[in-house]
Amino acid sequence: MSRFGRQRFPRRLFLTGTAGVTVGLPFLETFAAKMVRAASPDDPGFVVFMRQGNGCSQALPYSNPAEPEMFWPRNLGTLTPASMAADSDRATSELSAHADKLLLVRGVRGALSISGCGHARGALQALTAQPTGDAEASNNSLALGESLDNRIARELNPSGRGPLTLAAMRPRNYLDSVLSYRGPNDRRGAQTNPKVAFDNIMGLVNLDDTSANAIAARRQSVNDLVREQMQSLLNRSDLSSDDRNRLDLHFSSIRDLEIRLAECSPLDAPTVSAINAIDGDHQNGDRIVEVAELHIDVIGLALSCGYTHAVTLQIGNGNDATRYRWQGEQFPSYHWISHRIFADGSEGDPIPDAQAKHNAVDRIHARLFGRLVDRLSAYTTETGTLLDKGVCAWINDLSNGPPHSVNNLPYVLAGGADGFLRTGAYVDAGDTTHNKLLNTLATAVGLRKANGDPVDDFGHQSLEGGLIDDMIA
Amino acid sequence: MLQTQLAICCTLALLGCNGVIGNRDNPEGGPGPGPGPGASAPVCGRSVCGATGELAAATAFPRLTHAQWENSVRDLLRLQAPPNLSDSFEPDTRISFFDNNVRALRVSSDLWGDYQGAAETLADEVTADAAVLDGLLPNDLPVDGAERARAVIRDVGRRAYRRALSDEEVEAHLSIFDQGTTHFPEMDAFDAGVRILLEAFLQSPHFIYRVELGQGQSGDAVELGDFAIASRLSYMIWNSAPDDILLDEAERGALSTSEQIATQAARLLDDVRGQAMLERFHAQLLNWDLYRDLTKDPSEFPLYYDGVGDDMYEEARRFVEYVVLEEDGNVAELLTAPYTFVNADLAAIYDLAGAFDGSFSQASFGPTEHPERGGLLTQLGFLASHGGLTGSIHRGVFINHRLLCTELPPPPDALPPIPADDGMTMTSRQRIELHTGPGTCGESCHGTFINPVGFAFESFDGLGQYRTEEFGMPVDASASFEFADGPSSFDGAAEFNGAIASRVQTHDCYTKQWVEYALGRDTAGSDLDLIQDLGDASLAGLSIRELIIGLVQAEEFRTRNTGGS
Repeated sequence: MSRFGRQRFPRRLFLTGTAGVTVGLPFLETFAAKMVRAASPDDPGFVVFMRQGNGCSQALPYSNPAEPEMFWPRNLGTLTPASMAADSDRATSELSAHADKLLLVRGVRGALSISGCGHARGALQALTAQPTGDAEASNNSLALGESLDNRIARELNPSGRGPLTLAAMRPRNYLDSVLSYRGPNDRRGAQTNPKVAFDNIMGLVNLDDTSANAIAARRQSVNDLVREQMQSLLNRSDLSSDDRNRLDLHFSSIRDLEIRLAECSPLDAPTVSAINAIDGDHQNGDRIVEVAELHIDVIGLALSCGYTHAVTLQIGNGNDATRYRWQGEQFPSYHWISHRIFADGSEGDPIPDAQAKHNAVDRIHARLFGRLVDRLSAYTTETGTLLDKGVCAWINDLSNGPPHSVNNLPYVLAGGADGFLRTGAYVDAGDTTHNKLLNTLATAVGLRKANGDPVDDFGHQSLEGGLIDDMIA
Repeated sequence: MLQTQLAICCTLALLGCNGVIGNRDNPEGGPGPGPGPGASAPVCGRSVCGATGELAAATAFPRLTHAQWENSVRDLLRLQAPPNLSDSFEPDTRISFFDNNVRALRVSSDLWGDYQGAAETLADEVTADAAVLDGLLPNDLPVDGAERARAVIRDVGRRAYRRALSDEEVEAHLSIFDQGTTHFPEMDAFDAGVRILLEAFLQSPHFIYRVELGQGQSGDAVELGDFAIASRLSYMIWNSAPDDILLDEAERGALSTSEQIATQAARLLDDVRGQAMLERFHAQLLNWDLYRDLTKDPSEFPLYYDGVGDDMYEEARRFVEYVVLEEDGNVAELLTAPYTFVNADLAAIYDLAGAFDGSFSQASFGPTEHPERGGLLTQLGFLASHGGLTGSIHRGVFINHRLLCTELPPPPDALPPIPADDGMTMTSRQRIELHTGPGTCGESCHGTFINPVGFAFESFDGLGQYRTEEFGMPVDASASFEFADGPSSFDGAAEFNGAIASRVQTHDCYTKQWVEYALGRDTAGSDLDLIQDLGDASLAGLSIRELIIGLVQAEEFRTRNTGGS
């Protein structure tokens, strides 16, 4: 059991670069009571899920025509910059500079067999390990349980604050936000504007004590009245269970303001300028990558301030139709590429070099993940970097292109979660189910069961529990 | 692998495709005239099936959509325009065609923070502007400070909570009003009280939800009461809070009878905000947003231009408004009317003769000049947003889902592409039929339901232009479709539109969409009786306007089932 113990590090981050800025984070100290089953407030773990859609360019030996391996490294075992760079035909080679921080996990399949739309069935279980209540998954189908980012936020975040849920995507898609669930059939919408996310974190920058206390007192007055109103409604005996749950969620969201002064490293002026500049054009389908990059910068800020312990970043809409650009060429819809045809459905003219284009899109995502690793590595602590204290996971709803299956899902992790996870390695989990990977990440960032044991039962109750030993240091 | 993929395809197609359509003599859902090969479930007799019975359960706390929040703030604060703050809120997720489905509308911690921030911003800005502040307050306020505050609380509170406040509530709000000077010592005391009061109103559950606790309960059925009826009406038709007239009617108990409700519904429909509902409903049902995102290759379509999608949207909007409000038409007219609204650019794509300019005007298709056109489905927006090689499939799926309420499964993922035809030796239809038509594994869904509908529109290319040939070969737009009450053959979109306009399946489906939109929830239980009654009336000629008024008079609109407490 000692391997589940966590080293204790001081909470304070030593900030690199220019002088830090004092940020008054809205915060409620009473969250401490919730922490007894999880990590210490002074020892935060975190997880960032960066999600790609539509599968990756891994091998499809039985397709017609067969497709070669273009994603995974050639050899299992230790990863080094040289070994990864040598596999330059593989998308993961884009991350060779970070080899010692990485853990690549193959041999993990979607835990649940769900019929219907591949994108919906992959996405709804990706972070929930839950089925849907619908017989066939479609764009309106929802998962029957909370997602891991929500669980982590619920247990580790300052009281009431949900996970940071971001997306870089255009509006009005067949599938929009797909990852984060507060609970059964309760999907969380993702924030698509980096400016809003940034402002939410920095809203109380440089607040002096007098002003902060005045805001807190005013909010307390309003909250008192609103709580009375909510309680009066909740006291009624004629509410259905659904209505009671609806009001409970609302009631528990009402937070009083206490100011915890946190020292954050300010984003540099060009980044802030870019965040401001994209406000209003953040849903432009031609700027998806740019928006994702800025979201990543905001994520670094959020984690460095202790604003949250769980983040999702969804790249592209549910069945990502972004027309990515690679080496001067603008591709057709990525969704079409993943089908290898000029169509969203199953019929259409073939796209020339479709797998190579899919590989290029994989590389674009790899570079975004590399940016995330770089950003978190730039924040240093007494013992290492911010990245070392948590884990970032580049995930995918699906495994591959045309079949859109969930066998051998691509998991690329970075950061050891305070030494809990292996790094610098490429492992095969042996065709296990992805709920065990989620269990491993939950435990890595500090979640525990009520009895203090590792979390080994996240997801649907029918699933075999456990962790993936090969991932653990 | 290919064989495996095909096997999956066949399984899905055979088991999943259920054209749940009509047998009017068999409402219990037993076996009846089947919709064709592949449909495995029994059919109920109408386009909308299920166990009819008691009123479907519904929440007492439907949350405002973000659009409704914007409009409600505008009307509460008497602003000229919505404040446009919800763009930065946690976005709502869409789980049906319509944005007001209550299953997706809850208050999370993130959204609560959004509401709080917006309330503080609005209260600050409103009380800092004397003219705006004066505009939202009642006239002839008492001089006495406490009475003055009470008058504001009663007046603004009635708009905020969409009902009269009890004396107890007034005193509770007076308490917070009095704290204004503490929290905003730099402000005038009265203004400070209004500021903190507005913050409280805007964060109250009675503002954020349309609270429908009702008056009196019999079993699980709740009579909504006049104020809740007023809100249901105004949020359905105006997407905003009730106005003073509606609140006055509610306050004097004058929204109790179906006639009273009908009178107010008619008034709301005649307002410009009622016109906006027609746009909102049809834009969501028919996914007009796709039009605005339209892009085409100008080398393939020389008449394509930047902004064509916006023009197509405007064409559809004007057409619906005219049919419903000017013609007092019904759904059949929406599907067949031989005219549209165009500017010069759209007229060129239609190849319409006559003088057109940059503004929109009504244009007739004419029985001899353009007999191929008529109704929404031959308008450019629908055709162009579902164009290309697979346009017939997308058009067919779209119409089956949204206008015929056919239950189709999602497409299987693992299918080989349509074989290439570099020599252009086949029409699009021939290639689609080779892949999905009779004798293929896609026969059940595609051959029976999707393709016949889609093929009716083969005479229109990817921009919606009429064509008689494709690659020098004649276009075939003939097909036969199994409607609820039997098959129908047609040749071309005009004949198909005439066919669906005359089928109760279409009228049921269109009515079902209105009921779902009006109630903000999935339809079930006794809704199905309502749908069939209104569907019958629609088929017999009931106009859309009367359909809406009939709907709001129904028990389903006026009562709520608690679903058990």
